[in-house]
Amino acid sequence: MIDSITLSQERSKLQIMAVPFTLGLMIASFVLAVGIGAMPISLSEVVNYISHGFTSVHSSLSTNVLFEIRLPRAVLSIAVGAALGMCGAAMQALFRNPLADPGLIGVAGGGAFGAVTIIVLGNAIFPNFMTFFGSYALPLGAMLGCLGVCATIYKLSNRQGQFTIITLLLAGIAVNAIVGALIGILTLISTDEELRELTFWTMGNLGGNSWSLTLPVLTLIAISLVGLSRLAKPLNLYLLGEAQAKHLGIAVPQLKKQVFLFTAIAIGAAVSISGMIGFVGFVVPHLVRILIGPDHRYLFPTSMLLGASFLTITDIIARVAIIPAELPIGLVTSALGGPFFLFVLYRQTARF
Amino acid sequence: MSIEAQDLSISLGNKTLLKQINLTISPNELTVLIGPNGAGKSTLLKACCGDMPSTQGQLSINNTLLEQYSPAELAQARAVMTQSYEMGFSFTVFEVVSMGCFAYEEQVSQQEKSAIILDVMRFMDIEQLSDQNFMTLSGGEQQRTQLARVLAQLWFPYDQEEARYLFLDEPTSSLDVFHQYHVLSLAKELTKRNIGVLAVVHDLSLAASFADKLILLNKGEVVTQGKPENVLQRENLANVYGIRGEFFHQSDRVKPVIMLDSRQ
Repeated sequence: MIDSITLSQERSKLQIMAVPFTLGLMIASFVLAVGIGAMPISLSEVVNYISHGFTSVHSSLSTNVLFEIRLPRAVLSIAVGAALGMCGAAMQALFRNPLADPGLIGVAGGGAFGAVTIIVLGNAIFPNFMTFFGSYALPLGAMLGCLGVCATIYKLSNRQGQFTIITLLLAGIAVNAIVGALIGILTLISTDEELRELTFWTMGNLGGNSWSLTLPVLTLIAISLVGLSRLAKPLNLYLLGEAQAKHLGIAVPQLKKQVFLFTAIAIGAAVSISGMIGFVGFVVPHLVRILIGPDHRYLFPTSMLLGASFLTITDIIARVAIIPAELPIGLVTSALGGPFFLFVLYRQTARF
Repeated sequence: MSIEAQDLSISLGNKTLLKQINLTISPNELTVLIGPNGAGKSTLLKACCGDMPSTQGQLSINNTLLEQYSPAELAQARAVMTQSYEMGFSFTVFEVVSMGCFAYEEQVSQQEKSAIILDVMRFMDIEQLSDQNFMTLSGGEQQRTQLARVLAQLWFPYDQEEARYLFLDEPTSSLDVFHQYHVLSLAKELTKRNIGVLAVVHDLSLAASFADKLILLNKGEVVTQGKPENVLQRENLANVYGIRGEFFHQSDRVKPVIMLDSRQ
């Protein structure tokens, strides 16, 4: 009896430690991301810059690099990583399956398709939409793509409230294939300029984005992550099963709709600016769950912070591995995440 | 105050699952649904707890129509133990049980909540499993954990004027004899707290031993309902189950049983 309570306390100790620890990790990786690169910037320069209220004291090459290149990129990698980590956890809850990942089941692909459609066909087919939404048109297109795929997969793999991993993954394969083909077709009919703009979606890239493109994405990601974090407790109960959650007093259809909407917004916004970055949404929540358990009140913030740190560190690797060229970050995350996925799959199947 | 079903019918496609059911589930009573496989026991239980909409007729809980309850209000009026539960995430037993407190969580302090959880875990004899991973438990232990969670939902407030209800769909299916008796005596004990219990039980002797009222279902219809000794008569058992046997209660010192004829 006493033993079991102290053991419980051990898990709750880990749960309480997790957020400050990952927060520190995120800040450290952010500072590293700002400092490391083809042109090293010392910590004192960064501090000096920040202490002057983010305005350049004197215009020099290093402050330009810092403000126009490093900072937007570091902020973006934090935001996208946070979105992928948290949305991965949310999708796994929604499908009650720890193997669901926005990239794996085709949701990110749907987002990429939506984004590419806007780039190539936007001005020709929906000119009013484009002028009305301005710089938000691209993230919106990506979101609609995400939402469409989410709804399709949900309908396909849901049999009376039970989700089977087989249909989930098979539907993901099919959706990814279809999306790949459609993006291919759009690539063929695109102009040279559009082609340059859309090629990076297939591999993922965090660089080359100005503040004006980054800010709408940051806003949308922030809104949806706040929205999702408020659903942590109901989602715990939802993991017992849909009927059980309803018995305990949860309005299940509304809960599902909210999770769908917020993940589609966040993933859509992330994909629209960074392209498809695979496996972060799968690896990060999985690791966190092993360490602190599946309680979403701790899983959500920890996955968010660890996702942000993970992507920021991966982006540093992508930038410096083959200086002066860059690796697409999607390749790095897949190279790290793919083997981990196989390992988890092996452990899961070995149990039966 | 009670649960009232009037002319309740449920069909799926052109298959009729329940035909014009009339019944009352009263607080302070343990009502047990019996009947052969496919008789509609689980369907009736699901209809009463709000999981399955009726095609015809109406159902009211404490004089309010079921449709008028929000999920949160319904959670304060009844708790449900389902037949199967899936769990792909490694919650601890303690965490699973604590989910039962969701409906009233804002009204109790953290200490009161912990006391409730420990109380129900002790009742279901799982306190020593408190920190174990739910997924690694045996079938019976999982069932007791889920039962503890369901009980936690009704544990607070202890005395409530408004009658509440507990639905148990085969709560004893994976349990050993000791825990079968334990669970049903507990259900009976709960009826003293202004709680009405509706349970599906397959074992006729077990049902006869604890039920205040038996409802015998067959092919979606109520064959008969009432006290165990009246329901479990020779001709009912023969017509519904196709077995020869009868209700037998030797004395007050022992529980009643169903005695089967040696020649079937």
